[in-house]
Amino acid sequence: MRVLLVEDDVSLSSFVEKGLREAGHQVEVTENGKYALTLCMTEHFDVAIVDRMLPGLDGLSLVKALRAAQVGTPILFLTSLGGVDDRVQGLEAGGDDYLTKPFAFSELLARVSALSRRSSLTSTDTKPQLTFGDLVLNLYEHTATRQGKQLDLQPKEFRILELFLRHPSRVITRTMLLEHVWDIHFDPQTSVVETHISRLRNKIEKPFGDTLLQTVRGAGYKLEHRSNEEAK
Amino acid sequence: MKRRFLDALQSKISPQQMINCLPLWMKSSATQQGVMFAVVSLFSLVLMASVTIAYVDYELGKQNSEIVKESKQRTTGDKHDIDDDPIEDDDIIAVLISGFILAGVLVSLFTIAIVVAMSRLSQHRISRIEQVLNAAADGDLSARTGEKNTYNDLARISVSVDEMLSRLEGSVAAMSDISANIAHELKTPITRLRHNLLTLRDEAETAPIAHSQNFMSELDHALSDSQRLAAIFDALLRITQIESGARRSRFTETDLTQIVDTVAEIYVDVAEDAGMQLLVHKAQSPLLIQGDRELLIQQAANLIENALRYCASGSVIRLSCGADNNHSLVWLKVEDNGLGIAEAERERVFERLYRVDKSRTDGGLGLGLSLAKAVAGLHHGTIALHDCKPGLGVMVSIPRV
Repeated sequence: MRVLLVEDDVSLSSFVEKGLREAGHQVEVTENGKYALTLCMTEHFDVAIVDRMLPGLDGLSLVKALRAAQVGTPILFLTSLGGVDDRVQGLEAGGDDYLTKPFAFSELLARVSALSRRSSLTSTDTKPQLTFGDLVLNLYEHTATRQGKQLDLQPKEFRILELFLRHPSRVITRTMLLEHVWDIHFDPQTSVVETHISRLRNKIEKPFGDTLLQTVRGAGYKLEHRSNEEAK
Repeated sequence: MKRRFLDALQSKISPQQMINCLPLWMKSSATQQGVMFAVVSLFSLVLMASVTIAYVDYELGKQNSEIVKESKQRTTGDKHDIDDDPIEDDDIIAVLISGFILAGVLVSLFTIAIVVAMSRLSQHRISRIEQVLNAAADGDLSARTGEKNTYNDLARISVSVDEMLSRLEGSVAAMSDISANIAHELKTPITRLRHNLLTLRDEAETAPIAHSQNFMSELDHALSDSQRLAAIFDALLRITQIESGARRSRFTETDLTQIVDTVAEIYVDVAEDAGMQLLVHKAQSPLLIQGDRELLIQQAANLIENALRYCASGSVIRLSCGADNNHSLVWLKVEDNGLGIAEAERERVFERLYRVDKSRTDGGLGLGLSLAKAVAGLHHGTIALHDCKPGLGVMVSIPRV
């Protein structure tokens, strides 16, 4: 995947670049907004990571200019401006996702993967059901079955599962869950996510004697089937 | 001052600039009103006098011709019907009275017209200033009266209000620029710090020589402290932003019962896992206010998290909302049956970074109630603590506009 990174802090951009390369992505780095605009207009990128504060042309104007020029590259804003207004401004300008500093690299990686997937999957999004192994989610009837057995899920638990099934084998972070499932854009100081994940596990894993939701330490969770022996 | 005025006259500048160059005493509303009063009085006097004179002159002319006619009849020997008293007192007085009444009516109409016009003009200006000041109080610092000239007191005030708002807008913008810059300059290094610590931790885990338990726990402490640093920083910036009032421009119609539903949905299970109970009581009908949904959710969530953090297992937390009798106020309450807060400290807990128990490291930031207060203030509401005997109750009241 080709990623454009527009960030003016050299040491930050060097570790993000290193991390993205290690994850197998091709990375183009620039610290100038104007140059980034030219790059995006002339070359294809799967995802662009853009800092809000940049020399030359600020991130917001850069994205506005790109969208005005019909460039549809998914854009992830990277910013120290964590206020709600700033986030709304970023999304209104045409950004697709928003990550505030300080961030964990795993969070960035998870979001970049989700973004690139979103843009390539838009045409097949109308599928009435999502499957992962023996787990089937019917999006029209809002029902979930595993090995043919109906699962009794709360609406939010269904939403959590749907998010995982849309991004199988990818890390979904705690913040991504908070934003997509509960529409919460602040950091709760209590274990909201952990509580709901553990309840979901009780319903979709316990009766079947294996595990589906794997904890990725320091990052989040991912959907991956493991038998109990493997997990140990 | 006179010279400046004369200079202005000679240098042929626009009349507007000329007005602005008038000496201060001429711009004073009191002077202008005095002058206007004198002019109106003088004009009324002249009007009244001329109308009366003209009318009396006309009536006297009629009487005169009557007398002339009678005198002629007399000389021609026509002796019948001679009036002994050709000029009647009553006639003269009646003529004078109707003359004065006519003039009086005209003068009154004229005065009323002038007074109405002038007070309307002033009233319009005053309400314009009022509108602008209200808008500014609600956080819209771009409002202006649009007054350019300073020809009287109200216009001068309008111009000063505009100037003040321009400066205020500038300094608020500069301030938010500064806080954005601070945020940028501080958060980037925190991100790097966290990354470096994480890398160190990964390396330590996979290192050929096992590190001591102490080393690993020190690293974990450093990591959680860096996270805490970022969280405090974020919360402080957020409170400052909310207090600036800028978010009022994004207010939409929001249903408080829906906010309660959303928050309850998030926390019922969390409370259960912590061995507590979250009970919800809400009004049957929607409670609509103009507000910021996201912030109201965060406010309610903060209040519940506080209760979850400070109450012992087995406690009951009640979340409720409703409206007062005449529906001018809606309220949201979070009550628990935990330890509560001593009366003396109930005001102080809203201060930023204030902790009731300073020695406790409970993971809280000491900013939850400050944020709740800022959100209440943003909605022109209030927040107050009360004793639930036992336990603490927090009530947010928001007026319906």
